[in-house]
Amino acid sequence: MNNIIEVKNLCKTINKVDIINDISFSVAKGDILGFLGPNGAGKSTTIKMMLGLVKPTKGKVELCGYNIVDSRAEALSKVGAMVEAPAFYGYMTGYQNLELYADLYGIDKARIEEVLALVHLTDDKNKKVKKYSLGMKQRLGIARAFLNKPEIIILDEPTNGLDPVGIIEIRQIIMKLAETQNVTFIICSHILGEIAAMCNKVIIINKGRIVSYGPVDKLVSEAGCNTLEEYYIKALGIDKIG
Amino acid sequence: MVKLLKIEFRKMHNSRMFLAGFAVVTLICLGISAIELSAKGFGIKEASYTDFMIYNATFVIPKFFIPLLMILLAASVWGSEYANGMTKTFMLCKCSKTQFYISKCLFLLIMCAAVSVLSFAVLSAVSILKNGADQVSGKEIADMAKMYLLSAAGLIPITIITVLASIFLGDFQKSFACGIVVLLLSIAFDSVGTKSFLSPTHFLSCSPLSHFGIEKPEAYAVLAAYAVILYLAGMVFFRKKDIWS
Ligand SMILES: Nc1ncnc2c1ncn2[C@@H]1O[C@H](COP(=O)(O)OP(=O)(O)O)[C@@H](O)[C@H]1O
Ligand SMILES: [Mg+2]
Repeated sequence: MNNIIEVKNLCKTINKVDIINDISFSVAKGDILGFLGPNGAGKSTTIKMMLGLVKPTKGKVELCGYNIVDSRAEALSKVGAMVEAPAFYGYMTGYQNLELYADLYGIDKARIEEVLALVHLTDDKNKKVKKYSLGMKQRLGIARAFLNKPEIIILDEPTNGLDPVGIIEIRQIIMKLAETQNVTFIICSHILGEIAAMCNKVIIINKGRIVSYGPVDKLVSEAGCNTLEEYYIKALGIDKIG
Repeated sequence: MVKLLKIEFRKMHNSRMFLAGFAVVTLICLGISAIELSAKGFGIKEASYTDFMIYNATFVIPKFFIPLLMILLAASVWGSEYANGMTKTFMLCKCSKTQFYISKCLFLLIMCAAVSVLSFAVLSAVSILKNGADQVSGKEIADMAKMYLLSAAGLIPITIITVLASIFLGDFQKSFACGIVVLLLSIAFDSVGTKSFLSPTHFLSCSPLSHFGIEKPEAYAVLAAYAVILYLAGMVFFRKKDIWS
């Protein structure tokens, strides 16, 4: 079994509207998968179903070989995630917030310092989170996703609100973890250049369906495109912009 | 689960909500005592410890302000946490929905007991300071403690109703409003007479009836039924609910 994530025929119907329609894919260990699609395509919904927050109408998800619905705790034990904007208690410091999760996971406090250093928040760890900027909260959210030394990390728009240097730093952290520790990533992003620089595979979804899925280089070159951006526009069937 | 419960306490501690809530209860108790002790019209100025405690148990403190505080707490622990995404984030930490639900309810239960114990302690202290410790027997205090504990149990239905509202509505304002509406309706129903034991807030002001041994036996069954049915309903709905935000 070399696929660490297995998604089969995932569907979600709300009030008779198919929000997610028959999505299947698999991710091998160490892959960095880019998850692309326009706003409202269903990226976050798919991720919520993969993490067991939202129950699929049909289909199944396996993380590390465990079904997310039947064996939730086992499936999530090796997963770190940040879904949409990260939430924290504003009246607690960054460190105290992470401490809550460290206790829940039963993780050593030293690990908190480690992840804080990883996202360059060590200097601000004793500041109340309500005084953090959007980018700092985003970093803290990423730090929390790394906390339990996960084998799978799922990040929904991780670079939202980060400055250019921050974006590059996060990209480097992600690529380093994938390379050195064989961590598997799924990354949702609107920034195509971002995905092109990091990911080896990509899924493009639109209106709840997979439009294309495969290795980035292969998809782009086979379609006769030069960049992922060009390919993305072609795949979504948009001929011209403006 | 113990860890989840600890988190609730730690966060209350950090937000100073504990202190604020307890300060409010204390102030209200002191305020009501002051009104009562200074109002000659009530004719209880020289009243004994037991009279004072019974009178206070039927007063607005337990009937309105303490449940108000619990509604506020339940709506913020459930509704606002759902709305701001904290519930979602905790659910990602491999804790099951059932554990999550039970620990939050347990926390609220402990808080119900805590506010009642606090109001009991403050009122007792006022009365003993006023009348002198030699006027009170240990048995009297134990009887009154029992009565106040019963009114703590009377807080459970309205608290879980707010939890249910939060699970359905997923928002602080709406679930708070819902709790308040039910509380007011229930208080109104309370005063309609012989059927008042059917209301979810009956024991908040009627706990003295049990002290005098004239409470309808059905009333206890109704209270237990409210607590158990609402609790289980909340668990079932929470387990079914999709966590979107
Ligand atoms: N809480 C919700 N209840 C019902 N439908 C929702 C909810 N949140 C999002 N949706 C619907 O799901 C679809 C996909 O949304 P989402 O997954 O957030 O898109 P993306 O993350 O790709 O921008 C949208 O059509 C949206 O209307
Ligand atoms: Mg999204």
